[in-house]
Amino acid sequence: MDVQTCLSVPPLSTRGWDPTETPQAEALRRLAFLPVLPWKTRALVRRCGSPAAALESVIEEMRSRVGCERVVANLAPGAPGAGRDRPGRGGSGVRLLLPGEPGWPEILESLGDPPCWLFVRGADLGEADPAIAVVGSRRATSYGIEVARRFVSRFASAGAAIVSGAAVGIDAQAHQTAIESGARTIAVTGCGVDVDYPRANHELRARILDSGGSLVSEFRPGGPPRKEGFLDRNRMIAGLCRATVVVEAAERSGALRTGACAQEASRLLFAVPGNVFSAMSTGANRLLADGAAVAASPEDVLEATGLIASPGKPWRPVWRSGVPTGGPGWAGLPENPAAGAVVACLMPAETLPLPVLAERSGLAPPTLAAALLNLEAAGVVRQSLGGVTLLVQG
Amino acid sequence: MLARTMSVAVLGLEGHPVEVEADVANGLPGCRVVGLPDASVQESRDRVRAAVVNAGLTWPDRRMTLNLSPGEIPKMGTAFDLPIALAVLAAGQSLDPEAIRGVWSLAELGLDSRLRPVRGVLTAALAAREAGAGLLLVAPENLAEARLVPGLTCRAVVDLASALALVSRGVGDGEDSAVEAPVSLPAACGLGRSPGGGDLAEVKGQPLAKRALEVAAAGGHNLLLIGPPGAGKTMLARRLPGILPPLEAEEALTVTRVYSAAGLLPPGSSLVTERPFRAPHHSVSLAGMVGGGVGVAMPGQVSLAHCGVLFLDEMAEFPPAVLNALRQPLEEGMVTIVRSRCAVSYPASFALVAATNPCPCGYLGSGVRPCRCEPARAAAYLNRLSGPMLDRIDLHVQVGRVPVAELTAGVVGESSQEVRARVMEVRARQADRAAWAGATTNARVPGSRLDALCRLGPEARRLLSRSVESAVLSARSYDRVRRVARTVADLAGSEVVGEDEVAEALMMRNLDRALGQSGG
Repeated sequence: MDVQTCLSVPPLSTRGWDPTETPQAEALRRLAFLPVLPWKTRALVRRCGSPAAALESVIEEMRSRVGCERVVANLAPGAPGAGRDRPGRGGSGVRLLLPGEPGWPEILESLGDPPCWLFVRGADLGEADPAIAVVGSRRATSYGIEVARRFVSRFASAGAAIVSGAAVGIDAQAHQTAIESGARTIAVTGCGVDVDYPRANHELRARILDSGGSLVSEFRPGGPPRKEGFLDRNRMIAGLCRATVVVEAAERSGALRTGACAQEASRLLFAVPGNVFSAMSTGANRLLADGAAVAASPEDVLEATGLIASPGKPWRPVWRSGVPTGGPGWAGLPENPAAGAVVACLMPAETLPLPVLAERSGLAPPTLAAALLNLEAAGVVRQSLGGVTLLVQG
Repeated sequence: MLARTMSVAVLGLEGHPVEVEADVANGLPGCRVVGLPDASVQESRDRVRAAVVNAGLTWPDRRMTLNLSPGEIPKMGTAFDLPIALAVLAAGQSLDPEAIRGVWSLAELGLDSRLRPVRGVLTAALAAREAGAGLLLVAPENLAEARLVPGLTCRAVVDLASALALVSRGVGDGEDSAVEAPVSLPAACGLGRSPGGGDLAEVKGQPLAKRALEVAAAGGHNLLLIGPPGAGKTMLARRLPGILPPLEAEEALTVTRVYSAAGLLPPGSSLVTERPFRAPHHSVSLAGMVGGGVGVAMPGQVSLAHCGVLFLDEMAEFPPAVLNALRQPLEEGMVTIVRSRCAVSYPASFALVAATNPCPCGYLGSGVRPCRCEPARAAAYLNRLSGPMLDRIDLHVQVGRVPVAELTAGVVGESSQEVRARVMEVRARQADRAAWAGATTNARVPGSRLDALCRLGPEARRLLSRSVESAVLSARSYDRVRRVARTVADLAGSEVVGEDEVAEALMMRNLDRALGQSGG
């Protein structure tokens, strides 16, 4: 698929209303803070024809209800306190961004049902192009984590911004590596941008903001995470990017949904092939069968998105006929037969539980322990509670 | 008319001689028991009366006072039935009061005057011997237990009438050849018998876990098994008593006293000869675990596991209060339970084996199927165990599921006997060091003696300091690793702890790594 066709952005006017007109913008500023799922408000705007009409219908509806007088008063045009620079809760620097305003990501307009507003924390989104989405399972394997790390660091060096969903697993690794490689990173959250969800990524969100990245969401500040909200989130991840790379996904994974959205929005969709024995690879491999492009190296993605003209240094597999090639500490080890036996049981970047490794290698526990410690000291394997991981060298 | 006989009040594992006095005087017919009796002793009045009448003997229908002396020791249980009956009969002149003076007795009476077994006979018999008793009368079911005490003549009597016949014949006459000499302890112990609980050879695969069991047995280390459901954690734990050294005579006696105090000794059995294995369910209460109950506390699971193995399956599911209560027994080898009426101490020196799933769904790192837990929840699951409790567990080892092919394969591993022989050898070596190490097992060596006990080779020292620097090892677990490495070196027969021993010790402390990572 040609890059230019997939990035042809329709003008704002295709929405059927002009968001830069004052009444429409005023109406959007009120609608954005309604405690309603964003897709429902969008549907209402579509049905009524414009945000102003939609707001009018909401006010009409609320008037007929008992006890909603204050809501009506706040929603009415000209009411004080509503709209413009209403801060996010706790003064966390949340800004409301409307279509057509400076910093609005034009690329979103090519989505079938583009968002009517965005809440942004951190840097403006304007310069976040070209962007590549890197998504995948929350329960990532060591293989997925390693792939995310290597791909994102290569994308970063080619100057791409990295977009992901601020979830744990692959998402967290993508943001993390982007920050480490000095790339811009944008986290699209499935709840208010000031909501501490998921808790495990509390520090990561702060680091994203510190590194000059942004947190983006259609959800109003303080909006709690909702199951349905994540589908909207996935759509926006795909919409913000030229290409979406699904790193690792199981049979039923939200990352597959992001992939489907990318295809609907005519974006490039890549999937990284996975181990056919691993349940965590089924979804990504299925995407490949269904027509996603193969991302066997980061260069595949960069070339297709036009970020590099031709692959410079080719991607080289690090595994050859059962023996890893190269690596800092590897040189002296093959002389140790026990270490060799351990390595022969492992696949690169995959984790084998310790008891399984003990069975497969057939080594006595004392020998195995010594071999593992030597390998770990040499940087060949890493041990964790999940098991022993053979690190990818180079 | 006054009559006296002797019995023993058993409080926990202590026996106190009690003089049972009966006085029959003129007045309205009635019977009063004094001397701090509890409800069960008060009831014995009615039982004894019925038994006496049903034995065809005369119940003195006059004013009767029964005193259990000394009065400040609480008395409970049904063991005073027989001495009370003897005292009453002597006071009522159905029996010569002199004949029962030196007689000690312990038994419950049925309404038909038959003797029934009671708890704590071994402890009572020991106390009776201390007090210089000559003859002890017990129910037939208790005879084997009582006869474990040398230097005490124990006789079983079937009912009140035969008890009467026995005491009126006189204590000293040797006409009854049925009295057997007290048995010798080692013979009763059945030392060297093959242990129960299954043989280690029946466990297929699991080289890591088997090795950990051996190290745990050899060094007296506590062990945590981490693995998915169906990995065989329970099966492995059950085999630990079988590779521990056989019970020594002294130990067997103590274990028997605990079981007798808890009323768990099967009728007619003498000595507990196998190391106990206790596996309380995780719904166990605090009192059930450490001991408790109304009045005088009963031994809990920690004491019933004395000299044996306490197995906590699904350790993360146990109430935190129950786990915390294990700390005193783990440190001191005993537990003291204070209740309003008295405080009792029970021995509680056991090997702790705990088992847990690695995460709520159980499959993290199992290789069987992928873990279905939220990563954050999985990390939080094991963190629940952290803290003072984990600090007292030297070995944490992962257990994997064995593939079906291996289960059906005919490979037979080492038997428990072979492993036990090695363990005994290592324990003997540790016992030789005990004088200056301050403990008979490596696990209990005080930190101050560890430097001298655990001499590290140069590579081993480098490896340990590297592990501490790379934060694989906390300073807290540094000593634990050295203790385990000492045991591993003992198993290898070496005096100096080398690099390989430290490497293996580090592998058997898997959780340091995992919790260190999730924490930082």
